[in-house]
Amino acid sequence: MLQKLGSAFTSALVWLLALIIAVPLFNTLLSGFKTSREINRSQFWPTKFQLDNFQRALAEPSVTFSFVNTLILAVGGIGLSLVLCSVASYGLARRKGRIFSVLYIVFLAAMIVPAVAALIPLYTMMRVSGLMDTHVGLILIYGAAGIPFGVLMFTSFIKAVPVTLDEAAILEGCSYRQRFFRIIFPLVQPVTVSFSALQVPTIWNDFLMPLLFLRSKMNRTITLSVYTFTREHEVDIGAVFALLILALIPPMLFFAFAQKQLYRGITAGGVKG
Amino acid sequence: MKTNLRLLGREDLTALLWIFPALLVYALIVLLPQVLNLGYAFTNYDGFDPAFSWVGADNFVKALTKDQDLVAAFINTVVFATVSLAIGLVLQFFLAYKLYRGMAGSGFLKGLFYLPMVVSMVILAVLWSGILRYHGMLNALLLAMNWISEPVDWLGDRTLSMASLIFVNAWCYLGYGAIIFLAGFNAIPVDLLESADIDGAGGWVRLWRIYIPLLMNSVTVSLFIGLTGAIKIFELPFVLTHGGPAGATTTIAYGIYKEAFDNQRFGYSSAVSVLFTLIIGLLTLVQLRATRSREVEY
Repeated sequence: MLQKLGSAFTSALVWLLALIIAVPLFNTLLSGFKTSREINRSQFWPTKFQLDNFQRALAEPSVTFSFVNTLILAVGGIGLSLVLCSVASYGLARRKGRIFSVLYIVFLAAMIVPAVAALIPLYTMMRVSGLMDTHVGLILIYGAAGIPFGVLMFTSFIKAVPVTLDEAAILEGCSYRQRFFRIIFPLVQPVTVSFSALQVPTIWNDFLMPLLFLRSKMNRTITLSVYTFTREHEVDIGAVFALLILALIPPMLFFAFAQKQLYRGITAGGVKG
Repeated sequence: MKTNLRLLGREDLTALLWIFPALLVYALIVLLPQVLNLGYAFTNYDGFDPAFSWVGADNFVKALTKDQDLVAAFINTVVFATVSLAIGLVLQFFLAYKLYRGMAGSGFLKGLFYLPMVVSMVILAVLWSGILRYHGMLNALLLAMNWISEPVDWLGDRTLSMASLIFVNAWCYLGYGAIIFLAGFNAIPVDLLESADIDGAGGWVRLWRIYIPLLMNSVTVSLFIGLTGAIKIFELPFVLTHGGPAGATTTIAYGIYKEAFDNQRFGYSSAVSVLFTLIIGLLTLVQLRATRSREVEY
């Protein structure tokens, strides 16, 4: 009896926590449809669901552009990491020489140093190389930042692929390149998927790099455009909330599709093994 | 060198050739900035003027002995990280335990709690500023319920602004940590729990003797992710409080940003970030050691 009561009590606590998570999100959803007056009066439910806020938020062309920009950066950055890491990891996983284990450690070393320390020199490097305010510059940064983790994932996965497959291919006269593309690459597709699933939110949600390295309005990412829009349209709080709703759509869609992948990615790191 | 190359063999050379592009990009964009940063730390570089000069260890001396703002930022960061982690770990563990034991709606709850993790901190911070600002939702709600007689300055008061940041941070990380713990719970072998049943171990005994010791690895992972995330926190103070009032919520990462990009003191800021990197590296090692030794083999 006492145990049941305790369990009901703790379940109620969980639902209270759930409410604390849900209410701010739900409030945002509602506020996007309210007039600024209703929001400023803290009226919870809109008198009439109106779409004016969305119209005003999207009237700024840079807002629409920011969605495309973010997509370009995510696809470019992840693509770059994937190409570099998958190709490099085949050698790192299979060759036995000392140099390969040293290189492997070098690749992973960056996982312990914070990116903050790299920002100041990166700023100068971007300026000097003319990559400031370009998507190429950010794609290079994101692609490179994904290397330590990508090498770790691809190498450990390839190591688990039986070497006998390679040996049989060698007997058949397959070159290094053929073995990679015909045997290894098709087999590592699960890593491609889980690496991408982990990198999408990392790049999509990044704020510091766009803040520092993107200047012109039309190049802005979603996070940057939410931030600047909020500062520039402080009075038009309705439009700010409408933009927030729009900005929440891509991560939520992504979450709906990649939920399993995300949990699995965390699980892999969180369990002994 | 020539013999070495021959020893490596054709296959090894091909492999190295395939590793080279990744190594080049990595060296240029990830490693080089770290090295340059260490170099800047000994100069008075302002970010633009190439005619800067070496100042020896001046930047480090200033950072370690004279900079009151940095001391304040350090204390703010420590307070933010420890309180966030303490509250976070307890809540995450509790939540994971309930989800593990199974309760109505646990699939839905898991998704809901995890959701903030896929959304940018900036977006969440803007969302929260709509609630926490002086004329925001929270004050309106509390006023309507007659719990307060005048609005509370959640983001403008010295103590409350820090508490607000900690709360929002815990809000963001709750589901992420819970899912790490949940994975740990699910990895506990069933026969262990069955033998505990046979021995008649009750709820508390199970918690202290089985769950907590066996979940030390999950604690390590969650602590590690939470700690490195909290110590590097930038977006929340940047958007919600601008580091204020009067520096009360300026963290180290935000301070480094301000020194470099607002005050154009690249050299000095580099020195601070070198010290910051050392602290993070050291903390990571100590913390991994401490939790590792308490892990149990099974």
